Amino acid sequence: MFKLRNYLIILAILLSIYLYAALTGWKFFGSNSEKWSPKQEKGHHK
Amino acid sequence: MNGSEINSNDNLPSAEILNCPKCRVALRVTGFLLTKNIACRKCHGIFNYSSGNLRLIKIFRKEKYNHIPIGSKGTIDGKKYEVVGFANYREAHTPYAWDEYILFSPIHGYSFLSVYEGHWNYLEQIILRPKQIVNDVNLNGDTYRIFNRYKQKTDYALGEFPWDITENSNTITEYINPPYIIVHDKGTNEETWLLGKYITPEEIKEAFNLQTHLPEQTGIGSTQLHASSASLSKVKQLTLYVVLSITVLQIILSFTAKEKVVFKDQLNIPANKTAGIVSPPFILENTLSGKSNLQVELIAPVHNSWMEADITLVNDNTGEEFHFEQGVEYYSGVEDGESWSEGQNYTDLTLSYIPEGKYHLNIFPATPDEGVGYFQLTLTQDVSMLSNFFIILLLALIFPVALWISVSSYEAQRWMNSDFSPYNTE
Repeated sequence: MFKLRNYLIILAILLSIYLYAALTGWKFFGSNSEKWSPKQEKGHHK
Repeated sequence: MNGSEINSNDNLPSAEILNCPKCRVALRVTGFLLTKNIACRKCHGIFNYSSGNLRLIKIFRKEKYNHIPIGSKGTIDGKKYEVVGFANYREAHTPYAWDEYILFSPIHGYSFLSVYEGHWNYLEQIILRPKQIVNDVNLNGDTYRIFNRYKQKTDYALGEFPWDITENSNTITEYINPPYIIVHDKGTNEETWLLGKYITPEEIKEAFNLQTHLPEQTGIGSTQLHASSASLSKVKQLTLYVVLSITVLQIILSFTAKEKVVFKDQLNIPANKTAGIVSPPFILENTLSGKSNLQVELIAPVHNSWMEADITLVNDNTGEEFHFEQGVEYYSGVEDGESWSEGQNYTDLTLSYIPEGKYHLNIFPATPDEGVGYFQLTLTQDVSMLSNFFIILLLALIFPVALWISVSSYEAQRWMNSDFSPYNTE
């Protein structure tokens, strides 16, 4: 059963995480070791 | 005598005892002058009761089981009742059938317990006539939506009744505002308004101290509340506050973000493809937490080509390294008389959680195109992160949206039993 108190706790946790991320520069789902390779999409049109 | 004396002394006036004129079994009359019909438990005859006399008016052929025995005493809403009658009804020309128990209190009069598919309602007569608003009614400021309208047929009766139980011409209309219900019983010459409330089988068992099993519940009762429906309006309000708060917070964070450019340079791509570039040193300034994000923007004049940079951010104080790749590609042309373009010559990424300190970059650029001779790199410390805002907003909305879907589907299921369903668009 849904409990309002549980929702309030979840909101408090989310808000804390959001503020912590803002203070520390933590980007959710961000990566500090991004990879890149060309798609060479030109080839699709030739 | 008043109601509290009845409750506290556990006494109800004793009943009058009559013999069934047909089978001679003893019949109790609790309502005295209020009693109109009496149904015999043995011969199933219905008798008109008037001035102590009984006159047979009908015999029911089928017997129905009553879960609360006639004569049971119980307390509902602080009112002490005795079960004086039981009837099984059917909606005329349909198979839908339900039971009704007639409760009597010499102080509070008649009340009723109706049960359909295991869902119970406790109903009391009201003097105040609800205000009719098109199809619905309003009572004390609350709107009750029309749920059902039908003529009822009595299939079986037992005990005593304050009306003619064999009368089947009345039109019954039910209006709901869960957990409440208003029932309008309209006959040719009289009409009755009843106000009811959903009552659980556990409450019925407790009220009448029943040890037997009550009918199993199926489906959703017309006045049954979703377990969390009471929370929904609070959650809606709370969600609004949360969305507003996070939005305001994001606006504040966007305005207070330093967005300090710590490095910006146009760099030439070395002719030697294996050669790298070492950037001049730069400083990531002190922040409240000692850490911040760092946005890296790369621009290169690519056309029908690509350019890639293998970059290592090196902390000169600690030696800590952050290695990542960035690239841009852009293609355009004309095909079958139509021009097209794909990609762009700009890209950015945001590094998380970078400690303050002195840094430099080791860059290894690569491109297949000799024409792309340079690229521009810009590093900005402490930028606003809109993606975090949307992710938190999404997470905060999962709970209320799930609850809303659950309550909505529950309501849709409830109204499936109604001819007046707001969900029926046909």
